[in-house]
Amino acid sequence: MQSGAIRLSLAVLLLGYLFLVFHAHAYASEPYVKQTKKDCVECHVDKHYPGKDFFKAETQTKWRYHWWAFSLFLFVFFAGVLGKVYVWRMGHGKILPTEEIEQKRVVHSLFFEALLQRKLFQKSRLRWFIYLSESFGFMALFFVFLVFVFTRFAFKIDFFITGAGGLILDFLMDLLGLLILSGTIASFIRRSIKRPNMITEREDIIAVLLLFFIVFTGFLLEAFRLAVLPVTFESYFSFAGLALASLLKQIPLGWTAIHYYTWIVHATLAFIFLAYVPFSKLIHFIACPVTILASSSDSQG
Amino acid sequence: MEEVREVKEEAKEIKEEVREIKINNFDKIRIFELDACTNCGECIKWCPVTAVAPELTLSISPPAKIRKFKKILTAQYGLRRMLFGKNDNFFNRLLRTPSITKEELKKFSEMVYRCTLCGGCSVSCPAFINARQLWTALRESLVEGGHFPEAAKRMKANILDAYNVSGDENEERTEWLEFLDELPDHQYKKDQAQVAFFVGCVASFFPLVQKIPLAFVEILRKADVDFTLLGGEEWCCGFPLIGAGMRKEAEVLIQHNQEAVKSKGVEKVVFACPSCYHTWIDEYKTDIKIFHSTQFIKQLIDEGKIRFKEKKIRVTYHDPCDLGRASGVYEAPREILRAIPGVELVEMADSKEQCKCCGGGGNLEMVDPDLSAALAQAKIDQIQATGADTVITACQQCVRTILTTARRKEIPISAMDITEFVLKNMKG
Repeated sequence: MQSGAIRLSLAVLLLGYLFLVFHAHAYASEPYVKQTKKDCVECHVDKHYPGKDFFKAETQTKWRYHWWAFSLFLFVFFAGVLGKVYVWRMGHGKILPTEEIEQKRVVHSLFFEALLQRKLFQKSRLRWFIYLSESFGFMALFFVFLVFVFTRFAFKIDFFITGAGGLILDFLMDLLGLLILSGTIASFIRRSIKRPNMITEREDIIAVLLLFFIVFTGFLLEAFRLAVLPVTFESYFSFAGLALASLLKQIPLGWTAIHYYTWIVHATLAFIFLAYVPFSKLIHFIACPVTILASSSDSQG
Repeated sequence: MEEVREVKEEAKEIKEEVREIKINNFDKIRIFELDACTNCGECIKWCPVTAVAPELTLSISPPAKIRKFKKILTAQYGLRRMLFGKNDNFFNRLLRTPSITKEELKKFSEMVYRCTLCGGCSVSCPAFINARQLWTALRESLVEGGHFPEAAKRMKANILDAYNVSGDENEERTEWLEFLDELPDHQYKKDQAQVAFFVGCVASFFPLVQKIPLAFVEILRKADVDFTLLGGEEWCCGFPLIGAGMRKEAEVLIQHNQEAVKSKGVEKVVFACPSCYHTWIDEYKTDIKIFHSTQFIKQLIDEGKIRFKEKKIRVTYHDPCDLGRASGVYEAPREILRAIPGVELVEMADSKEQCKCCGGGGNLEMVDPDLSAALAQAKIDQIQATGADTVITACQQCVRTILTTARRKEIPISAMDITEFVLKNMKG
């Protein structure tokens, strides 16, 4: 791929970005939001939203910002991926010598080495825990989040909105969130202690902090929402958020308004994280499984 | 005005310099490996260089090299560079497009060559990065860009002029034969034979380790093996050049050696040097069976052609990097030692896959002899901690590195190649 092709691809990406920016109002219009988020008022108390009622506030600022920011950071993400692909393609040969890899070994490598990180488990239990909680936890949470978004907003599956599926998702998101928080704290401590066999640079800290604050603000959002609602049977499935909410309830503040601004911060952090992936060590989410698979081939293994 | 011109010329030079570090010699998977590194630090724990020089961790440890190289790639092929070009223009200044100076490249090259290519970092890497191949590819890029040590230039000149690493007359390759008690008329340089013994440059030309080919020739003679040496027709196998990043220059040597061996009509080639053995396996395209001396001796023991007398001794075994980690031969030498009655084998704290390099690999000795000696010292410490009477290895370079440091520091230690140990304890 020549740099001309990269420029062309970037131009196409830019058009996509501009399209989203100029159509943000369509996805943030009052009828659209009312349609897609009609169940949200059950949990969000509209009168406390800053200045406006729930749907108006959601419509006019929050979701417009959401689409603008999302499209910008998505553009940066894809531009970064494009740059990566350009460099990856500079080498010669195949990335994976497919004819040399047995299917059994592929499955074995992906499961034991890439997913469960057996090698790390044998070397250091602490490092393995950090991997499990940070990387594996994040991947699992991201997957659960996707199920949450698609089942609630795209496919509107009742089982995941009002049924048991929704409660399971709430529980899993809290559990995985706590796992990630503990992993990022352990990682931060590990990297903060100066040791001869460890190099810690700015990008290592940024990655850990981003992950921590995305999850932390996620818990805050849940707590701010639950703090203004009566405790029900369903609330207990969001156990971490509920625990935090029970503390917040003691403080007489406008939690729904704070929820509104925290949501902006949470979304922005998540978008920054996405855009940061191809420009940072986070790209190993993609590169690691590839190198592990390559090592399972005869020529590498 | 003159100053401005000088600055412009300097800028032009830097720009051209930046373009020189190419990666088209890399396998695609090697480039992926740069992005697979999470800087977790597992490899640093196992790196023998950072173990003896922790102050260099920030510059020469595997993740440090990877990060620096990624910065070089970003400066050359990053998005901003692609969009706004190589020149120092308004957009590049506005967006602070990174660039690389000559000085930085020089320092980076020094980092990359301060490595023994032992591959210890790969063993512990959770991302399965094949670091040895990565470092070699990196050295190739640096060589292509003209950023490599002076010592490597001299080594290249020696090999390409004299066909051996020491720069001696190549016809003198088998001068060590004169130390044999009995030398047959053919002087082991037969026209045709079943087996060829490829001696290697170090064992041929460095007196300290010429005992190794002498011992192996004696073993082969006593076991009635029909073998030949290549004499002056044996050229350097290419390993030092490949390790230094000069793979292209090694092609002529590979071609020559393959033809030289083929002309003898041999079925097998045996190497006492693990680096030659590994290079033949990895780089040579041949149908001839390839053996390391340990594998060959093991076979002779199994066939009953070698028998041992009892020897009460406590030994430890050092796994040479090119035989162990690079070629996966761990058991053959241990089985030989266990076959000798009375020998007690004690393992070092780090053995087999985790065995620490003695300092003799990767041309490190050529680039930084003090660092190489520090690695040898660490190895000696580990050997002494076992309480063994002797350290046995299966590599002339390991024997030479360990003994040289021990002699300089007046450390009483006995180190020998497994061929010497086998010959000493053979019956008959």
